[in-house]
Amino acid sequence: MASARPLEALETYLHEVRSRLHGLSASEVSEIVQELRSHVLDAVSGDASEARIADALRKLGSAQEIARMNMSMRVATRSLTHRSPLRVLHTLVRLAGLTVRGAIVLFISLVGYGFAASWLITALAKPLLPREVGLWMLPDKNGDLSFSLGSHGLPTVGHDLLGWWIVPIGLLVGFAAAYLTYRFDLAAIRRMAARRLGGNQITSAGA
Amino acid sequence: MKTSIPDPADADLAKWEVQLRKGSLGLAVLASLWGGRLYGLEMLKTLQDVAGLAVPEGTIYPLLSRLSAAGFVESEWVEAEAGHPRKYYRLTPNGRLYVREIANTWLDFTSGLNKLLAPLEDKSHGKRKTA
Repeated sequence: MASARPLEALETYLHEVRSRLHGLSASEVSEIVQELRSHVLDAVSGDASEARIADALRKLGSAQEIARMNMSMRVATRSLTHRSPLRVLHTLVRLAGLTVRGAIVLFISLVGYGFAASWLITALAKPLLPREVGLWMLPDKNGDLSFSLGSHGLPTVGHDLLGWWIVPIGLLVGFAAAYLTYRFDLAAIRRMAARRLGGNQITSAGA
Repeated sequence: MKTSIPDPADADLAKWEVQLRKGSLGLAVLASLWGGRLYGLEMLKTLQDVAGLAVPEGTIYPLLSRLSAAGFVESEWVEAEAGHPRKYYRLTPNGRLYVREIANTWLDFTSGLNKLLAPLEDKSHGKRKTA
């Protein structure tokens, strides 16, 4: 019969894993924790001594890493099976809280969607404010030219480069940028999920 | 005095090995289930004993979760004689088709490549690595 103390170490470990599985459903958390418990009990083969439990937990990996791998994989899997752009973006927000790479991808994604939105909004606003909205070429204080998309409030100063063409071009560029950003997000999530599996730690026994 | 000069090709080789192992881990896990249902630790032992793959233990469950979401494996909890429940995994019919397909693709690919690589084989390779 195992003494309480080694199993206490197991329960502490599982508690730490559980506390790091933010945002997963209660049933998912329970499933992960129950499977880890079962794994450790199998690994010690009935000899639940302090040393055996500690060894089994060491082989399993730190609670932080285990939680992170499970979170990343489940969150990524969910977004790849429910591929709505909002779901994908939500996944990226979650991954950004877990990894630096996730934060970088989220930043790039926000820039991409921001770029898309600026073209779409300009295209849609053109019929409402035809003299103020467009792709403007503006002279600055030094006499150099700069470009501005949207409304700059000084229609008499700048030159509207596209005129009414901003509507179809803006819609085309906007939707294309949004689509490419979405595809980039999906690919990045897939790569991050694969990296989380720690391929660099898999070793050949003969090596 | 003996000095060791780092080989720039070592880094490339390490990267290549990582990609190879990462890419083949899913196939290895699915193939380990070909003979019937297994629980996590059994699967790890099979990978180690049969294929010589030492997989970090904690990585197997997120991978199984992904394969399960993809519909290639299914699982069930079974009350084991060991005194605690175990989660067993088995291939779904779709998973059996899929693993057979990628196994054949792998075998076709490697048999052709092996013929090409045969003249390059260095018999002392394993000894040198373990030395």
